[in-house]
Amino acid sequence: MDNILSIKGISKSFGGKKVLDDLTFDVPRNSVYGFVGKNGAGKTTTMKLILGLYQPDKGEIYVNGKKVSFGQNETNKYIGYLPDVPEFYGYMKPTEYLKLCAEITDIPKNEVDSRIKEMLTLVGLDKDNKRIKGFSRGMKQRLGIAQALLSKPELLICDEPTSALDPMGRKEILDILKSASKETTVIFSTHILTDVERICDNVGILHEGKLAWQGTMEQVGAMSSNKSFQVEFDSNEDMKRAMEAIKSQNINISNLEMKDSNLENLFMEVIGHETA
Amino acid sequence: MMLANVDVQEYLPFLIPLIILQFVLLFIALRHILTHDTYKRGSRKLWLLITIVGMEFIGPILYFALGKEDE
Amino acid sequence: MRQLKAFIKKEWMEQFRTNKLLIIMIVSVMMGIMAPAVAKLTPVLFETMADTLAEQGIAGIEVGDVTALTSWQQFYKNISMLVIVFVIMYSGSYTTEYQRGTLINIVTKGMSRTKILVSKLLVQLVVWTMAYVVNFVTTYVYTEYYWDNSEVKNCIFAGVMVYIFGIWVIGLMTLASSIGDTNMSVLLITGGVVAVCYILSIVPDVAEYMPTKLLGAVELLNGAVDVETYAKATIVVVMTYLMTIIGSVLCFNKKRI
Repeated sequence: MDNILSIKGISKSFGGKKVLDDLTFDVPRNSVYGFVGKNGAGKTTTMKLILGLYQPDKGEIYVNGKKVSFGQNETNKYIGYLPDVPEFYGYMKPTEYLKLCAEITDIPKNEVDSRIKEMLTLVGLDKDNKRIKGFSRGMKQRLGIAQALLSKPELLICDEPTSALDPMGRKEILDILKSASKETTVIFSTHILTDVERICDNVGILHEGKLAWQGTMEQVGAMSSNKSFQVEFDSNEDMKRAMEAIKSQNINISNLEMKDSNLENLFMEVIGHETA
Repeated sequence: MMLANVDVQEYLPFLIPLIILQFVLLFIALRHILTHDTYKRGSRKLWLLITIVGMEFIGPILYFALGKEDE
Repeated sequence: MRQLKAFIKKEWMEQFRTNKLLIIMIVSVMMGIMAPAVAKLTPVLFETMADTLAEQGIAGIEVGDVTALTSWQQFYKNISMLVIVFVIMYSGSYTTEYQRGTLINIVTKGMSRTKILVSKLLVQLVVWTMAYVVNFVTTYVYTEYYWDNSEVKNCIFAGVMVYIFGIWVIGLMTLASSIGDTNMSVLLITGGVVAVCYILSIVPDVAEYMPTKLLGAVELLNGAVDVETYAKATIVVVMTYLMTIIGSVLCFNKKRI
């Protein structure tokens, strides 16, 4: 069995509006799976279904080969979950909160303290043992990763872990996730495509409740060979002339990049350019 | 109001603790209001006013029930 | 067992660190003192106002002798206030967690929802017991100091009736919390049910069965009624309490948090 997660024909509606429509996909073990989609595409709904927080209208979900059932949490012991905006009890300190988590997930008593210390060091909060009330967004996000990884889950699910953060904070979180992926499978939803390109090896694109495309990052790379979006000018001359023109207008160019975001092109293609 | 003929001594056993407790409650509420910048509803001025006007315990209770931010 | 203990510990820590316990205890002591204080001060107030009243043509208001009974009557007049303060302070126990999403982390870690409910219920029961006992004992001690508690009949029994009513209200609040999403809805549901009980009590035959009957235990003090009169209402309270708890567990298990 090499799929840690199997989603089979899941449908879910909220108040007549179909959010997920016969969604099917698998996540292979030990991968970093980027779950991409526009805001409101159903990413959070999918994650909450995996966690048994919502009841699907149709279909089944298997985590580590075991079926997920609504309201129960048998399968949640394999999962570490980082909500989009993790919230904690403000009157607790990080160590106290992680201790609560450790006791709930039944981590052996003699390992609790060392595990908490290890996690806080991993996310860089080992020097911030003050009440969570005064934490910044980035610190809460890091504590969120610490609590999600505390029980050494086989599957780590992160809901938009970077979208609320500044570029520096994003990089830190991505680095932590990358290092976490050595020991666990990571599913991570986002609408920031560069984040996916930075750490993922598998990608699924969610659009209108269905998986519009799925594949590995290598396949994404291979698709770039058709170069359909790359040519903007008829010739290099034209491009140079355009550059000259810009220059002659005294327009400063502080940064020039060869646009080569393959995933972005693919994304636009599968969702049909609506956003453009 | 003439209370001159009243033997105050007799009332001290409850007056003293009542006054002390009232001020303890007032102090906790005021300290909380002044050390927090955001409230569930209302503003700092409003809560200071309510707490001081209703200081015989209704004010502080209203603040803790309705104004204090959740943690 | 470890999960339950951990969550009770969390709830208990919350009582201290958010000042909830301290505030409710101060209020109970204050209200416990207030009952005998008002009883003691009433004749003084009447005395000082006697002249004014006489001028307005109101005369002959007899201020009866102040006794232990007067003090306890004040206690029962004020006790609904303690229940209300308690309900207001704990109406957000669940809903705050729904709104902030703090339970999501806990539940997705494999914590059983029933244990969350049981922890919250236990801690609230302990706090209510502490608050009520402190309130009752304060009034008892003062009344003993100024008068004599032995003049009052069924003193402890009447106290227990109101205590049970408080437990019943906590059950109601738990059910409301497993249905509603905001603390306002919890207050409305809890207050609404109590109000309906009061309205139904207009019919004397029905009043015998209403949980709110227990709040009127003051009538036991002068021996006007027997303790047996409370049997029916007590049975109803126990039965409906069990039903609300079972209902709460069922609703909470399917609650979208």
